[in-house]
Amino acid sequence: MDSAVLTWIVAIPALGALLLSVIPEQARTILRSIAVAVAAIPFFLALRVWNAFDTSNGGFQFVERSEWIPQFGISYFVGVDGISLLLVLLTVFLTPLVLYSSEDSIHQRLKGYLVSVLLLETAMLGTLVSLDAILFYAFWELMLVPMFLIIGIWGGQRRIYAAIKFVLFTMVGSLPMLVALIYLGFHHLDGPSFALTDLYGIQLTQTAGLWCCFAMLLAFAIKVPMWPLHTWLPDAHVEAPTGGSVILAGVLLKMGTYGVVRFVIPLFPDALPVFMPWVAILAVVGIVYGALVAMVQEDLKKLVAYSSVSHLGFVMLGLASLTAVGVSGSVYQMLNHGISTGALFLLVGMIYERRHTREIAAFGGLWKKLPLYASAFLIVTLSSIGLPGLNGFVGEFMILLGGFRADPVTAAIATSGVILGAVYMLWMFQRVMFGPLDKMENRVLEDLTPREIIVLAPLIALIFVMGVYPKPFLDTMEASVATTLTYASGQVPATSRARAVTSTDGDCLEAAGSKVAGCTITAEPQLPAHDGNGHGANAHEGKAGVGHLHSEDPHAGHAHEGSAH
Amino acid sequence: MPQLGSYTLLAPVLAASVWALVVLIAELFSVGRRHLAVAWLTVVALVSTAILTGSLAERGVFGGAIALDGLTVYASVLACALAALSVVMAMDYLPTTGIKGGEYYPLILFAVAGVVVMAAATDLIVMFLGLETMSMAVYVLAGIWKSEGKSNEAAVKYFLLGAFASAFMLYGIALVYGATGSTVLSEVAAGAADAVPGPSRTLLLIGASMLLVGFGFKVAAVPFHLWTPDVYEGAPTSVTVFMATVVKLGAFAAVIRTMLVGLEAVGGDLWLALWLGAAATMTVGNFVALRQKDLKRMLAYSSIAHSGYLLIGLAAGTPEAGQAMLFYLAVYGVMNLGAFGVAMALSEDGATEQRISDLAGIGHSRPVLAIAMTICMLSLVGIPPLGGFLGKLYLFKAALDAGLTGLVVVAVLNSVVSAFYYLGVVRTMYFERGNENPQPLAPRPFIWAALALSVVAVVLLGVMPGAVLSGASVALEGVLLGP
Repeated sequence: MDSAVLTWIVAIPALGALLLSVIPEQARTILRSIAVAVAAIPFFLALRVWNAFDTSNGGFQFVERSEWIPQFGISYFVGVDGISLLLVLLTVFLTPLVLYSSEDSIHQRLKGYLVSVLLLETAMLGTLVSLDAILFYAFWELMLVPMFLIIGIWGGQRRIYAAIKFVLFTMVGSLPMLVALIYLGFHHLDGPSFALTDLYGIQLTQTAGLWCCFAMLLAFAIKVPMWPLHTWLPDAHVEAPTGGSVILAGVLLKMGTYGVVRFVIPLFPDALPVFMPWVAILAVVGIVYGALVAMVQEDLKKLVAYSSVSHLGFVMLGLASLTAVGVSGSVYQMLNHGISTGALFLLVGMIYERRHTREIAAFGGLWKKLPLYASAFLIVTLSSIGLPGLNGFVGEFMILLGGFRADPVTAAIATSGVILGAVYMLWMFQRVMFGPLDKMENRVLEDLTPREIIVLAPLIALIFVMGVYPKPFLDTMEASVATTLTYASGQVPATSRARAVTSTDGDCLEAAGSKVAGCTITAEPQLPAHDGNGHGANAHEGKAGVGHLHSEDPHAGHAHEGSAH
Repeated sequence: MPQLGSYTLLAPVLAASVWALVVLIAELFSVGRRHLAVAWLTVVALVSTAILTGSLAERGVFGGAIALDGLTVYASVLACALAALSVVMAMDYLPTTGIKGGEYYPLILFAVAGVVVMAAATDLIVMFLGLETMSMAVYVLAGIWKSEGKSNEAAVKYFLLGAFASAFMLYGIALVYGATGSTVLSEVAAGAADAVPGPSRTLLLIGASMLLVGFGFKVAAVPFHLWTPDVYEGAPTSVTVFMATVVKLGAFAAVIRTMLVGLEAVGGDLWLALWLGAAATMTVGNFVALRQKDLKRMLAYSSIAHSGYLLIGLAAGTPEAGQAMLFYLAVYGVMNLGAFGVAMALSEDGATEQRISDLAGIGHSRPVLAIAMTICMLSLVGIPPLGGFLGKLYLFKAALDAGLTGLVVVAVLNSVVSAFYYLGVVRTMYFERGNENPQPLAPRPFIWAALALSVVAVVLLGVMPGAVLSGASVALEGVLLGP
């Protein structure tokens, strides 16, 4: 399984969905057990990948590549770097929990729900590991379908409206992105290629660069969502079933920020100075706006949804800073948000199942009756606020640090978002948990069931671990963030890098003229850490993982196997 | 008179025509249940014609009028394949409508023969003959449901407007002849290339525009599309799907040979008209489709919109764009077969009307059909990795390479609009509550089989398009225009 471990990670949930579809609907327990078991496999595989991952290598590892549609330069090309690996881990970590918690929140058509969630997992993982722009786009669009169904079938009152709005918003953004991707892929110098390693360092005219950058930023900004493109999010969250909300907030929104890291920052070094200040401003507006709107919400789920707008604003602010500490903080905050907001949605879902309302005013004094639930809620709330010692603090701190280096004014305003965050979360907590237990309905509530504890425990444990000891996570992403930022600064001679990574030995030998030039540039000593074996590599790849990058090299797979054990 | 050339060059046309006669005679001797035998004979005819055509290695032009080249082979094989699938669907569908006419099957074959002639013709007059052969057969097919008023109406409308279009085309041919002194494409092309600005150039441009108008009717391009929804709705669904796929393929194959390759020299002067035509066709098609309540009318407007996408290729006017059009025609054909196939599988009594709201709840009650429909709808939107996505990708790439960035942006925005109504179907199927325990449908194995093939083709054209892609690119290598 190691030789194509990423393919297996992506494919197993889909295969599981296929398996589930032949099991009768009535066997609810069997269905759910199989779904959880299937979803656990990618989790363990991803842990193995993490274990074997070479953190000193900022390039892509565990690369697999084969031709798909050679006429268009489209290939099946997957791999992970430190950034996408962490998000893969987040995805495979959250999905089994969501599947496991489905017993409480999904009362009808359980099979369809489980199948949808598993297909969604495949699509999300595929999006994260794709290194071919068209493959990425395929998975990106594939994410829409299961989520559309999850919201539209298992959602609340206005589910159809929310589902359609979700799909149309995303699609409006993603089609211009497709045009930009096509433009990039077909304007590549050595014939069409959609491989990211080819596209990095592509030379564009000023206008084309600006337009392509804008189109892609738009697509990702809708997905994040950034103010003022966020209006689909509260609807989608409020209407989605609990599991759908968890995945939506936990992973799907990160696809937008991930897209910025993977595509916008490295692809358009010349356009970044034009757009990033605006992104920072919109991010800050989103932070403050999201927090203010969250403050006045009467509905718990809406409150959490708007808090997402605010939190994702922080992530975008860190990315817009284009500093190592800011971008690392953003990536870290993506994980944090996935965990704490995921947990918040689960907690809101649990109380909703008991009371069938999410009105803040309907609660009060729950601590007396539900001490376990309230403690869990408190920890997650504090994590979401960014209390030092919990995970949220690390990410926000790094983002603000990076933000101050880029532009102190926006960062200063953003800091107010931290305060506002504390206000709305604590106020909400106070109204729900403290005060007199005066509502009759609340006096008969039961505390957390064992199943709910099993779901929440790993999340709460991670909140502590990531707050106290962020090093393994930061180490994993460090080299990759540095590599990404190198592209952003345009320091690496762009074309040489692009060619170097994809040209095979054969190309260098047989090609005449330009290609030979492409190969020789990489051999020049001005790239310090170059391995000099003719493959070509960038300065950050270091020694160990070079084989991973060169999928064309027939030995690449073996090189990886060696390091995986 | 040049030498006629080998009769092998006529093989595709001959095979289709002779089979049509054979099936016509066989039908005379069939009574009762033996209609099915005639249908199977038709499938055999189509498949064997496709295989024969595909296996021909000889290339050339017969008598200066009928070419056997990559384009002929590609279009003929594709037309036979799509027609065969539609015939298989008709085997189950026709009995539900009570259509007795055994002439259905020979007419399909005559229409296919016409399509083959259209694709192969290097002489405008012969091309016109092919067009008429095809059209006559389809006029009858549209009205074959004699007891249904809408079917009669469809046939009359189609016939009147079709005759109108034919007149335009014939006049266009006459003007082109007047300007260049020939109807043979190679000579027309030479004349067009030589023509200096002046009266004869203007005459040629008017003639070419008239030809475009004629084709515009057949492919349902705006503003010549008004017949489409009524005819598509009124005709028996199995005929509608034939019109939407095979007829359109024939018209576009002829357009590619005559306009894209033959009259390349005037294409530059008409690019603005083509640009506007493409933009208007997809925009009108998509926006009007938004408001449709009837499934067949919605699909009719969607087919107008897709004609608009195809016209992008014509506006681009490059060989690559022609290849993209050919590939798109294949994808478009199977997508529509799938969508109409689901409509046929669900129609209880073959009624011409089928409301979209009737699909409510089939996501639960008929999951397999719902998945098939969903795949087709997603492909029509252009969601990867389905065929519709790759088809659009190819077309957009060709257009971008030809510098039509603005048109591509229009097309992309149109794709967003189209998502509304295609996903509306998905929404209805899955989100709206219908009859939870519907009557079990009568078994319709043929529709299901053809539907399965179509849907598999939709997926395969997206995931493993290699063979069709290379077929489409070979098709436009060395397109023959005359002796």
